[in-house]
Amino acid sequence: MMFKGTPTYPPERYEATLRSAGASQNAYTDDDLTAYHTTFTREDLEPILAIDYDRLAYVDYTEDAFRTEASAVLAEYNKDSAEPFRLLDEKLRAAAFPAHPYGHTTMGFLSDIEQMSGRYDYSRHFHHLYYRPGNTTIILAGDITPADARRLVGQYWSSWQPGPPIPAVPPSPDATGPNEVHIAWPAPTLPLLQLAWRAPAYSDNTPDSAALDLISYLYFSSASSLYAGLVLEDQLCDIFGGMYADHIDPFLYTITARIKDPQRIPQVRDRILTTVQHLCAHPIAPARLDLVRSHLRYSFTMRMDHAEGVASLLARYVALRRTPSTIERLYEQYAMLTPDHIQSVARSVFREHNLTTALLEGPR
Amino acid sequence: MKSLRSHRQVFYCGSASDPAGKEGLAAVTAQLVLHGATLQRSYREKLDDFFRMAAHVEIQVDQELTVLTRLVNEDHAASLAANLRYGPPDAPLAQV
Repeated sequence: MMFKGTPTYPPERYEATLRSAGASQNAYTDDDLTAYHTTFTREDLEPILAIDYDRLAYVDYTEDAFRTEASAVLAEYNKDSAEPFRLLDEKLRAAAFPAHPYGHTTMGFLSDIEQMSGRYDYSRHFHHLYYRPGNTTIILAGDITPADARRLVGQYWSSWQPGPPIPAVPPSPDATGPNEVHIAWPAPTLPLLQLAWRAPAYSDNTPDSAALDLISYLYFSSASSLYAGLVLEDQLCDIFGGMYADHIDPFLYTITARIKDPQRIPQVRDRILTTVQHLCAHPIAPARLDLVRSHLRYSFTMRMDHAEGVASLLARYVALRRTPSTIERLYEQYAMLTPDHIQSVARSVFREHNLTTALLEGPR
Repeated sequence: MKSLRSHRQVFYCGSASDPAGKEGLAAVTAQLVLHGATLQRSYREKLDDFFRMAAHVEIQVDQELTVLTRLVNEDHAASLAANLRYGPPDAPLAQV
C-alpha cells in the first residue's frame, strides 16, 4: 500500500518525481524488517528525501484500493503456489514455530490472506503503529558526507512524530521435536528435503551466529566435501546447501536438498545426518577455518563496489542491532572463532529435540 | 585490502564454431576451461582457490564469442589468472 500515494503526492506526482530523477525503486519484506530502496544521482537527493518521507509518514488509501491490493496479494499467493519451494517453506515454518510469527511466511497464511480484504482498519492501524521514526533507520550510501546526510534528513524528516509503544513479540516456546512434515505435491516433481534445527537468535557478543555461519561454508556449501559427494561425484542432488539466516529471535539452521531419485531420499538424509554427527564430534582443521574466513572477508568487500550494494548490505545488519558497527562486531567474532567454538555451538544446536524435517514429494 | 579488478578475456569462437555432429562443443569447452582440473591443479584445489578469493568468475558462450569474466580483489588478481591458465603451452591437443 506504500505506493498508493498521499494527499500531497498522489501516485501520479510521486511517479513523475521518480521518473524525472531516473530513479529505480523497489521494496521487500523479510521476517524482521521491511526495506524501501531507491537509487538515483546526487542532485536528486532532496526531492527523493521529501517524497519518501511524505509517503512513509502519510500514505493514504481508500478501502476500495485496499480491497484491490488484497486481491492482488491473493493472486500472487496462488501464482507462487505453483513453486514447490514456497509450499515447503510455508509448511516447515508452521511446524517449527507453532506459537511465533516466524511460523508464517512474509505473505502470511492462506486463510488470513483470504480474509485480508475485510481488514482495512487494521491495515491503517498497522501503519500507524510500525511506521514511526523510532522504528526506522535511514541509510544513505554514495556521494554524501555524514554531516550533510544528518542535516538533510533532519530538514525533511524531523516533523515525523513518535508513535505508541510497539508491542514485543512473545518469545517462542522451546522446540519439542523431532517433528516431521510430509507434503504431497499433486504433480511430478523432484523430492525436496529440509532438515531444520531451532537455532539461537542473532548475536555478535557470543560466538553462536558466527559459528553457525562458518558451519554453512565448511560443511554444506559448494566448497564442502558433502556437496562434492552429493552433487558432483554421486549426483544424488541437483540443489544442496545449508544456511543460518540472522534473525532477531531464535530461528532455524536449515539444510536443503533437492534429490534426483525418490529412492535415494533415505540415503541423502543419512549422509546429511552423518555429517552433522561428524562436525559435532570432531573439530575442524584450522586451515579450513582460515579458508572460510578469507572467503567471508573478500566476498563482503566484493559486494560493496557500488552505492546500492553498500546500502543493501548495511540494511541487513542495521536491522539487527540498529548500527553499522554490527558488521565489525560480527567480523570480530569470525576472527576469534576456534575449532572448539564451532564444535561447541554445533553440539548445542544440532540436537534431536531442535529438529524439524520437511519432505515434499510428487506422486510415485 | 585493495581495490577490485575486473577482467574480460574474449575468445573468437562460439556455437557457430561447433563442428557438424558435435553441436554444443563450444559450451562444454567453456565449462571445462572454467571448472575443469588442469595438469597443475586438481578440481578440488581450483575450487578452494576460487573460494578463498571469493572470486566472481563466469564464462558466456555466444554464437561467435566466448567471454571469460573475472572480478576479484587486487590481492588475488595474479593468482586467479594463473589458476585459470588452461594447461601448459606445450600440452598435446586432443583429436576432435
